[in-house]
Amino acid sequence: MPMKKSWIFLLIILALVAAGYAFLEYSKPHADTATLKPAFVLSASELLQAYETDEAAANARYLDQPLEVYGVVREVLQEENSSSLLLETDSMLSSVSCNLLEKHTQLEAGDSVRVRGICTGYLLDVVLVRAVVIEP
Amino acid sequence: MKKLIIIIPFLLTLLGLDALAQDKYFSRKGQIVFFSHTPIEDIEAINEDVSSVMDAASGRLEFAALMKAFQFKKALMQEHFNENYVESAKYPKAVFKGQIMNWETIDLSQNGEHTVRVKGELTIKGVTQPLETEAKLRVDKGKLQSGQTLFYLKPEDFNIEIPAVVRDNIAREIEVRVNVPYQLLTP
Repeated sequence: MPMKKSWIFLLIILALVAAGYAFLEYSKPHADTATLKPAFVLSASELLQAYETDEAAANARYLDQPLEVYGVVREVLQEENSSSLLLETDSMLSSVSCNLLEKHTQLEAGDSVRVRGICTGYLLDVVLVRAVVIEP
Repeated sequence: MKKLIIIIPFLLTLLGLDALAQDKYFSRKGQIVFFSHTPIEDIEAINEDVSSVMDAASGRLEFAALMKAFQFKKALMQEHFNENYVESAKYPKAVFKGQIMNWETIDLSQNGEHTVRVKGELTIKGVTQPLETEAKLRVDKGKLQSGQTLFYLKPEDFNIEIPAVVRDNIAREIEVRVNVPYQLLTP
């Protein structure tokens, strides 16, 4: 009879641990791009070039990775709920588009910046999301 | 007479009267929202980086969205969406290629809201399905300003399998809301 009790006790503990783990997984936060170590540090031109040359290879390397990209702001886009930075590249039409986590009103075209974000791939531009301005 | 037929359109183009019809519009910050409503929970994913091109000469319309750019409130849901449901590492983009129907009847020189029908093909997870939907084009100052549409998709139509254990957490038909601001593509 004491044997059975300890088994039940153990099962309850295990169930609680499992539930706790499930809850933590369920409520785990998104990767914090500000503090996450970037997988790669490169210029906006380099990043775009990689995608323009070989998109599949670039995705194999960069897709879903936290990237730190530096360059000059070509344009600041302000939407209703977000702002984006388009970084200057060697292409007139394409850029590196950084969808910023927080609205930025201080940056202007021509400013030099360093941005960290998660790479989601290439359409017209290379798109980074959850982007955070590291410098200035 | 033949000469006139050639010269008049040429003159019109010079006068810029035909200019509107030759414009291409594009967007890199289109928004697409996937919304699933069930009694158990509501799930929403927002993509603010959709690109689109609209050819005012032909009424051709194209959209491209990166699957990884759909952002969910819950990181775990975003992970499941990418890894299990849409396999975005294998199929990084969703693409729509279509045509605004009866484009000749639509007068873009009129400011205001134009209701149109769009017909084309949507490809998600490597599966292509026909899509036809009503859309609204907003014109102001003689230029296309934005386009909106709303339609519903069934995950199974695109080989997206929802595991039985969470099947009731996700709507049978996912609401897709599209809102794209357009600007002129200057050559």
